[in-house]
Amino acid sequence: MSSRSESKKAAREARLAAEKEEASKQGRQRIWALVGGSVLLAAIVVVALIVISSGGSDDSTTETGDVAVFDGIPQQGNVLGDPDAPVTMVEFADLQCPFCKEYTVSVLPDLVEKYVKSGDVKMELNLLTFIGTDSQTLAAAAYGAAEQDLMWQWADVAYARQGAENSGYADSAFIDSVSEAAGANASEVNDAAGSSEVSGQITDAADAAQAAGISSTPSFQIGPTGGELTTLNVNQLETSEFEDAIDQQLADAGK
Amino acid sequence: MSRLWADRPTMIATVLTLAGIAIATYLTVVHYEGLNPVCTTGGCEKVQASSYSEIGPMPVALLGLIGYALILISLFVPGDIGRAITFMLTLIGFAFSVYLTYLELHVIDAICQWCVGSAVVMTLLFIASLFRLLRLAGPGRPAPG
Repeated sequence: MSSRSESKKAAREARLAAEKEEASKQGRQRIWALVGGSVLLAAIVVVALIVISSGGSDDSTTETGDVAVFDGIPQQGNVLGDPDAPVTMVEFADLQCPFCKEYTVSVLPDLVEKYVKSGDVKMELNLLTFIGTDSQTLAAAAYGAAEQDLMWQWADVAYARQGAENSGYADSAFIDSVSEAAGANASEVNDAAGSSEVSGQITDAADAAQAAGISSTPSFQIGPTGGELTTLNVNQLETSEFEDAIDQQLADAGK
Repeated sequence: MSRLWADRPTMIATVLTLAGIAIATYLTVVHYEGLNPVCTTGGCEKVQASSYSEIGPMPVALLGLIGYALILISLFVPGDIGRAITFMLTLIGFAFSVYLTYLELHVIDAICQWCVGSAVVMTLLFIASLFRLLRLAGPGRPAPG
């Protein structure tokens, strides 16, 4: 009797142990299935993020920018507008900087139409080269185009064709094509770009930025022509922010 | 709540997530206010000015903040589903941090201390979440319901 009871008990324990083992095995399988599913989903999301992050650089080598906006406006070196305009606005930019491109495409044309063409404001473009070697090549060529008083058109086209940062996109073919689209003599741009005058201008721009405490692009200064310039603080690169500051300066100048 | 805090990897993951939220919040505010981040590596402005600092219309800093917030929420989801969601989110964060660090070193050519800090936090979070998940799959440990 006792042996029959013990045998029943042993069989029950064996059955429970087997059930426990089976439950444990199923639990482990479930966890590994969750790991596999998580890895698969994560891989899809990361690939999508990387594609979006590195994308957007569609072929823009034939873009011509909006150079017509500068038609009929006096230009001398890196200065756009009437030299006697009562207000001066200085821009510090890097031609590889995407936010500088955004400003040039979305804000600059409106400001030029409203304030520069009317002779109220003159604009000065100082190019910095902090993003990388392509910035150096682009800035040198843009200052080279300034010798032909076409720097603003050159920068406009260069922004329109802006490539991936430090990818080496600013090669000689790129520089020549931008010069041609900007209406400049490409050969003369290249000669000027390699000159000591241009390297001096790039150094001067960097010095001016340092003196003004500027460490990011685009940054702006504004003030009465010939007077003291102050930093123009902009948060969202919206046209209204610039209009408010310019209108204030013009009011101060009695216009 | 007490069960959550009795679980050491979860506790560590929670603290790390709060650190990540602090970093991402700072970088998001700096981005939208147009400020220069406090920087000792000298490369923060360069990274901030890079086209890679935004994904479509969204700053990467804001994307990171959303990611950390989702990780924090997932830490409070009970059971193995919650642990799997945390693991998946931290794996996404870890893999994307590796990609961003590669960009800093080889494309942008500048190091941003805040980005490195976030990458380190995300790596530790990934390890903690992996440990949380694999502990359930250990021999003889049935998954909790």
